[in-house]
Amino acid sequence: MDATRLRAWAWTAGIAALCGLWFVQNGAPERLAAPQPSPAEAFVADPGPRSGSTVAAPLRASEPVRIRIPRIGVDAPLTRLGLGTDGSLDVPPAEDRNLAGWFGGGTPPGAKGTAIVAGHVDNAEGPAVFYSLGSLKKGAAVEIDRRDGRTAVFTVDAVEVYANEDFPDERVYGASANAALRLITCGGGYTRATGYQGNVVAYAHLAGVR
Amino acid sequence: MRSPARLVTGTAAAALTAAALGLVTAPTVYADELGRPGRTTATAAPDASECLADPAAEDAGAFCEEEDAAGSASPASPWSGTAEEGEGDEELDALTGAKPGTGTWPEPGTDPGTGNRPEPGTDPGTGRPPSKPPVTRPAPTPTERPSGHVRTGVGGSAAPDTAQLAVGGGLLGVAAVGGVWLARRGRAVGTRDA
Repeated sequence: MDATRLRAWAWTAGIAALCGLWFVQNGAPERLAAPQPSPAEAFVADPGPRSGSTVAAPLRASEPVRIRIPRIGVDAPLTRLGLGTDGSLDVPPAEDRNLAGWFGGGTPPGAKGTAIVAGHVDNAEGPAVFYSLGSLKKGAAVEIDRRDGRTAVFTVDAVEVYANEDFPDERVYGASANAALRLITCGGGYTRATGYQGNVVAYAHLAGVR
Repeated sequence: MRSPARLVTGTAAAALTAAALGLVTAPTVYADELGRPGRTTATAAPDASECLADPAAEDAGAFCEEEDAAGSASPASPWSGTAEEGEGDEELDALTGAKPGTGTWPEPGTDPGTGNRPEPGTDPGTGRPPSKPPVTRPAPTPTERPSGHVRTGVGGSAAPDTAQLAVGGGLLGVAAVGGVWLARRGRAVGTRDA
């Protein structure tokens, strides 16, 4: 056995060791579930359209059918959501990784008021439709196709994260003078005992119509 | 043994008679009620009011009563309970009109007559315009809204991935064993070469 062959085996063993390290590190329980918003993405003052951003006039109410967030690779159909017995927003079926939902009892996206869209951060198999919502940045575009054939284009104003027990109902679900949009998914910490300990909420307003 | 039976039959009979009485009295009640509305909406009402308003009501009284009888069945209905009888029973009217009838008629005639007439006229008029605004649809105001946090995560991406851990551990073990083996062989090759 010559030296070159030995060297090749050494390289293989080295690469295997590195791969093993990566797997162990990636599979370890301490890792964070999904990207979380940084404090820089939160509102500086009161929630509302960012200063300097264009605010489009609200559209007539029309059912949304699809949501796209090019910045984080979201392109998913929308289903209608109701309320659970405890008054909390229902969620789309978790089996479908690429499906988000909108609160059908409230404002449709693009109409005047606060529209609410929710999607899973993950399901039992792994990441789901809103996995990367926490990495969304101010100014990113959110497009929602509507049944009337128009596309409502929203601009992200802020992305914030709240603990489950301190969820700010009025801030998230409260009325709005313009066409506002809220994107909600799970976030915060995760433990096997409690599940996700918070929600990531992206705030956006209608900035244009196509 | 018989006395209780009799009691039973007795009470049953009493109940039957009570029911019968109730049935008998009921129509009179209804007839009374029916008689008045018939008057209020009928043409008799304004005439009756004229009769009252007129100073020379005594002369006009007979005339009014005649018109009443012809126009509606109301004068007779409180007593007979049937509308057919009242029609054209001028003799009866004359009789009742002469005695106590004159005293009782103007009351039901004037009260509802003057009070009700304007109402039907104005009601449909004012009723139509308000019916239009509620039809405008852009009022599906969100009466309900969610509360609390949303359960949009199962944890599949956050829970420790045992499969990954196993693969990683295995790879590390193989690399370690291979490394040790290689080190030995390398030393052996090195000594042989030297």
